[in-house]
Amino acid sequence: MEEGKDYYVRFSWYHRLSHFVMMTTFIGAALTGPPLKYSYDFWAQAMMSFWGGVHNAGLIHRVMAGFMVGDFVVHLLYLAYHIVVRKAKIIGPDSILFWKKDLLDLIGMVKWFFDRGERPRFERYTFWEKFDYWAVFWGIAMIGTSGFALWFPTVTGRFVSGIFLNVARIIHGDEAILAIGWILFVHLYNSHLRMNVFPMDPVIFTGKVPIEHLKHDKAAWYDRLVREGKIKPE
Amino acid sequence: MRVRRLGSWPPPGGRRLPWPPGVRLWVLAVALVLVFLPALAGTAWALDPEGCLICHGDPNFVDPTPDPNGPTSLYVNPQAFKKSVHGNNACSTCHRGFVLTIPQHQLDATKDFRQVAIEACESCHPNEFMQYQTSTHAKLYYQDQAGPICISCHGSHEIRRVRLGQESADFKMSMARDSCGRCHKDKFEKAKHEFHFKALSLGYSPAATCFDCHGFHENLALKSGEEETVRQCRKCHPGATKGFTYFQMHLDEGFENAWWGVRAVYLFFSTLLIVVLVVGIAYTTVHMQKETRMILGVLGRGLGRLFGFIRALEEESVRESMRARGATEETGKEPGAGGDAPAHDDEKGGEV
Ligand code: HEC
Ligand code: HEC
Ligand code: HEC
Ligand code: HEC
Ligand code: HEC
Ligand code: HEC
Ligand code: HEC
Repeated sequence: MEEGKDYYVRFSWYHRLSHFVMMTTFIGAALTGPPLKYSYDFWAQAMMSFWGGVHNAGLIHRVMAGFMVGDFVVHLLYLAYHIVVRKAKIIGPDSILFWKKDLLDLIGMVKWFFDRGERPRFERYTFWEKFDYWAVFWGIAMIGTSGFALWFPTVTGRFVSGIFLNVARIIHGDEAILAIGWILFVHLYNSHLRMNVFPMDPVIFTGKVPIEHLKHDKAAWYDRLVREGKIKPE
Repeated sequence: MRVRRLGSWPPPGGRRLPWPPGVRLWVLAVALVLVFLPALAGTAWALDPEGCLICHGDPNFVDPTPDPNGPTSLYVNPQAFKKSVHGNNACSTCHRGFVLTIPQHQLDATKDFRQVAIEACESCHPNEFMQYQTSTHAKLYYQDQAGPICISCHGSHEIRRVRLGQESADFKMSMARDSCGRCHKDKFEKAKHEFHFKALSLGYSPAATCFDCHGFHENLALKSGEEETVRQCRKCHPGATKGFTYFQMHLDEGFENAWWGVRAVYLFFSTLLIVVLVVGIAYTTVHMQKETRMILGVLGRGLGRLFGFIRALEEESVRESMRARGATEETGKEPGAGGDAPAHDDEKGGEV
């Protein structure tokens, strides 16, 4: 935190913890899984021996999977609590659900890329942040389910035909590569290399965003916060 | 007093020896010769009592009969043979019917040499032979020699000890690739992309290779959903059920020989993978070009300022020297200074 700046708390400790767990378990799984998928490539051997063989890598992979899915389940409970007990609004500027503005923002962003307009005035969650959030749901559903099926193949075989183990392996591998590719090329760009945040947007770890930064990065939200009296205008 | 007379038999004192002393000496002498003669004759004798290696132990020993394909080596590596499980067996235990009447030391001309080899193996390994005999491989061998015989899988002179259940991953992998895979190339190429073989290739020895599922001599034609297959899987997957065995080991990479559902899933997810990544990367790229242009703009302005700064420094030094000249003209004390220093064009310097 720099002295003499005003900050707005954007993420609670729970948000930060849950992102941290997701991040570390994702990296752990992404470093132990692919060597098995690409076992005949030269780098896979080296990477496997780094982990101490298939057995150890498999162990790490499963521990990571366990924490990741745990993180996800806790998040579902968190959502349920907020929606059912706290009666949080499901749609609106504070919601992570997609709404019409996201499409307009996307169009605005593309226009801005080609100098055809101003940068859109974003609300609390930009569309790419929402996309990353929902991608986790899809990823956990696909990779998690198929992963558990492969983890306990004979149990799977008791409920469905063994051919679904072949299917599970296809899904597990393809979706994992998709997730890794997305994180590397899109998520890391948005949170590290964008001009507004270079070399890194620390908000997901500190929870706090400088108000001055908010003002130009998420202008619509800034205006709303000022309107609602949550922050003092600069 | 001499109690004992040489040559007296039995000796006095009641001690009975088996043979009279003269005979004992002879026995000893003969025994010594028997024990040491082979040793004196060198290790060659111990390894090769039949003397086959005198000719076949020479690395350059080739078949003298002219052959359009070039000479065939008849060399047998004595060290490697010695290290094999049969290192203590005489050559003739396998090469039956060989006689040392060179040059025609041929086999029983009526019999195929490979058939002799099977019979030899059978004579000492009847159980394995019985298992083999019932297999499809044996049937195929007797039909038209297409199936493997003992030596196709085990080799001949360098057969190693089998470590059932403790085979290394390398052994399992090379067995699949070089032994079974030699004849079942397509099956190996397909199975290669499945978990068990990937794990083996990374050194995970508990994973299954061909013979863990198909047996090595019984040569089981497994079918999904059959009791036999369940039994094979249960060796390592205790909870295996019939349903489990519908897992397919031998699908090709594009899943063309699979149930259409597998192929559909495969096509859907590979398409999804490509489309999503392409869209994501394209979006990021156009974002990047915008920002690159912005950065270049800033860089340009920065460079402009840098040039301005350099020019300002230059001007400042000119001004300083002018001031110095003015000072010397006033006092006239500085000897080397002044003179006709070219006048700087201030206008031009401050223009841009
Ligand atoms: C004096 C040298 C000599 C000795 C000793 C000798 N061989 Fe040979 N061996 C040969 C020659 C020469 C050939 C090639 C004969 C031919 O192709 O007709 C040969 C061929 C062979 C072959 C190949 C047959 C084939 O058709 O591929 C075998 C097997 C063999 N010998 C085994 C033995 C065994 C076993 C012994 C010991 C009992 C032995 N040899 C002793 C010279 C020798
Ligand atoms: C365990 C049985 C066995 C023993 C013991 C054995 N051989 Fe062989 N040998 C074979 C078989 C089987 C082949 C045929 C290999 C082939 O066709 O690939 C063979 C082939 C050969 C050949 C033909 C060339 C070659 O290398 O393929 C020669 C020569 C030979 N053996 C010599 C010997 C000599 C000399 C000894 C003793 C030091 C010996 N063998 C001991 C099983 C044996
Ligand atoms: C003269 C008898 C004899 C003949 C012929 C013979 N073997 Fe053997 N074989 C043995 C003996 C004895 C052993 C066990 C060696 C030991 O345990 O030290 C053995 C071991 C083996 C082993 C290793 C088994 C294990 O449990 O480690 C294999 C494989 C084998 N033989 C294959 C063959 C093949 C193939 C042939 C035919 C080419 C053959 N044998 C011919 C006697 C023979
Ligand atoms: C299709 C290939 C193949 C054929 C043909 C074959 N074997 Fe084997 N054999 C194997 C494999 C694989 C093993 C197990 C190796 C291991 O587990 O390390 C084995 C194991 C053995 C063993 C050790 C078995 C034990 O229980 O310890 C003997 C002995 C043996 N084979 C002899 C023979 C004989 C004799 C023949 C011919 C009648 C023969 N084999 C044919 C592949 C084959
Ligand atoms: C010398 C070549 C050869 C070798 C080596 C060989 N096979 Fe075969 N095998 C055949 C042939 C030929 C067939 C019959 C055609 C087919 O099904 O592909 C066959 C058939 C089979 C079958 C189907 C049996 C049936 O009843 O339909 C199985 C299973 C099999 N092999 C497994 C193996 C395994 C496991 C190994 C290695 C331990 C092996 N084979 C090594 C040639 C070989
Ligand atoms: C994990 C167990 C497993 C392993 C390992 C395995 N297979 Fe199979 N294999 C099977 C099953 C199960 C089937 C039957 C599939 C079906 O029903 O279509 C089969 C089918 C086959 C067939 C066809 C049999 C027929 O009747 O047509 C051959 C040949 C074969 N395998 C060879 C091999 C070879 C060679 C290897 C090693 C590269 C190997 N298998 C490895 C389980 C295995
Ligand atoms: C020699 C032992 C062995 C045999 C036999 C064997 N497997 Fe396996 N298999 C393994 C091991 C080890 C694993 C890894 C288990 C783990 O770490 O979860 C495995 C994992 C699997 C998996 C999970 C694959 C994945 O991608 O994670 C499937 C499916 C499977 N086996 C199917 C079969 C079927 C079907 C058979 C019988 C036709 C069979 N196996 C026979 C050792 C074996």
